[in-house]
Amino acid sequence: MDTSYKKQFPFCVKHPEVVYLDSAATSLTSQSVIDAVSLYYTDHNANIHRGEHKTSVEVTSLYEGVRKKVASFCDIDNENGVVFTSGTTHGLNLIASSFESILTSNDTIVLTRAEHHANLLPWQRVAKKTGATIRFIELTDEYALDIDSAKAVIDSSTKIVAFPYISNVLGTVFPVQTLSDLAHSVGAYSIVDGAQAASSMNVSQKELHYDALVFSSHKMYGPTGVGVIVSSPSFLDMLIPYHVGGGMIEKASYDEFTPSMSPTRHEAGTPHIAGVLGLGAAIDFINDVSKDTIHAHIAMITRYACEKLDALPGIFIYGTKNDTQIGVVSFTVEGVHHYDLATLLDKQGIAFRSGHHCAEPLMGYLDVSGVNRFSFGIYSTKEDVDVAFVALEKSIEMLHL
Amino acid sequence: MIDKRIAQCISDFALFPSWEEKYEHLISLGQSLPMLDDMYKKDAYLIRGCQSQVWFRGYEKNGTIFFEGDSDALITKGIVALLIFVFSGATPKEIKEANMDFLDTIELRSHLSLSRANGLSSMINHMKAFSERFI
Repeated sequence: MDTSYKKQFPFCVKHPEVVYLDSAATSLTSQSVIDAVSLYYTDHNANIHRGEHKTSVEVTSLYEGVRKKVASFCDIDNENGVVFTSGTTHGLNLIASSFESILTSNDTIVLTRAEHHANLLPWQRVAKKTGATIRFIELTDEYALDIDSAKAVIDSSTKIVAFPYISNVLGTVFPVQTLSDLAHSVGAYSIVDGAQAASSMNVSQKELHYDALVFSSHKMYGPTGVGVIVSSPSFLDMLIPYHVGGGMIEKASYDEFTPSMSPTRHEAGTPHIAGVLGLGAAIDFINDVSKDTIHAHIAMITRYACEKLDALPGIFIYGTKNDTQIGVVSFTVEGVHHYDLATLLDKQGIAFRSGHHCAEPLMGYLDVSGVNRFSFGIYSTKEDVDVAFVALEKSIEMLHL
Repeated sequence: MIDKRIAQCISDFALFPSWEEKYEHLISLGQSLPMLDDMYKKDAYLIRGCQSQVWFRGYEKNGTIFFEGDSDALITKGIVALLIFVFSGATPKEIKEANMDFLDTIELRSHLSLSRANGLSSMINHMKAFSERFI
């Protein structure tokens, strides 16, 4: 049994009785990340950008070092194009809310049918306030993006094309470069929800051409409560600070303030310093293992799970089931409510997710009330999948009595 | 009457020591629940706070409260059947005063996830609140 990566994840070591198949909700945290978070509180415990004392200066340098690391991770030249946020949801809200003063009722926002609520609700709010129209790119019958539909809905009225890099329900990898180029061809911005993709996919801005990529640390082996927007300083300067307060001004008087330039204009208040340092360690972990290795491993486990599920009668997989599906396998079992399955699998130590997965409209589109989802990380093994399948077969048998 | 039914639940569940048997018993309770007419599977009869859909229809006849119910999930339907077995046919006062600690005795609550335990509380609160209208 390949346990080499499990050893680097304390949860796996402490809880061998749990089969963790819920990495799309949150990945497990590596020892190196936990050490980095801990080291902040034991050795670098000071605020950033404020003090002149030695520890503050040191931790500011470490914090800004992670910004450079994220920039390099995403292949952008200027680290001032990186904003630290509390996660993907925060990043998308920050971006979308700024367009409340930019869009008009003549404009369209283009999304896909596969949006997580985090990349749907903020745009719905903008559309309601501005009168802009939301259009959706359809999926094919095989759960891939329908590129003809994309070409049909993206036109000269389009100002935003926002989409997931990988669907959190379908696991479908969407063609980021193609959609970004389509957006740019009509003068629209390309905004990418990269939450499910950052740990296993190429996120190079130079190759993918996005205007903004948003992701969360906790889905890439890092701590919860921190994420990033990766963009360019000019795009970020166009955005209106979502929060205002300490640490984000050029100058302030009793009557008014002038925000500083990006990225600090978007980082009011004391940030999650320990979390950012943990994110830095998570990027080091991914680079040490190598993204190609992570991608190949997760793709292999995804294929393996799809094949095993396909062999079980009454199972329906919502995914392309080919190499455009990575990390996530969602399925239903004929005649079995997903909530019953979740209850019985939980009793057998299988941690996975069932329900609407914060994508309720997509559930309606797929014509289901919810789905069961197995999702994987670098520590996932074929043995994990095998154990889950034994539990799955036992649960189905109990429910079909 | 409720006390007798609770005692029966306790002795029934005592026959099933493992979690598998407890769940299979719950599932079989759900399967033996009489069908709820589709006219009651509407929002007005839906219990809020449950992860799966749960409907209860209550009515009063000659000072006695009766319940019918259903769920789209089998285990939940078993819980619905258990509560109907305990409450249906009792007086409003009995239902109001019923001590639900037996759910811990039969280890039902400890076998439920937090969200399902919250759903169970929602069902009990709904049935008790309905009954109180007739006191």
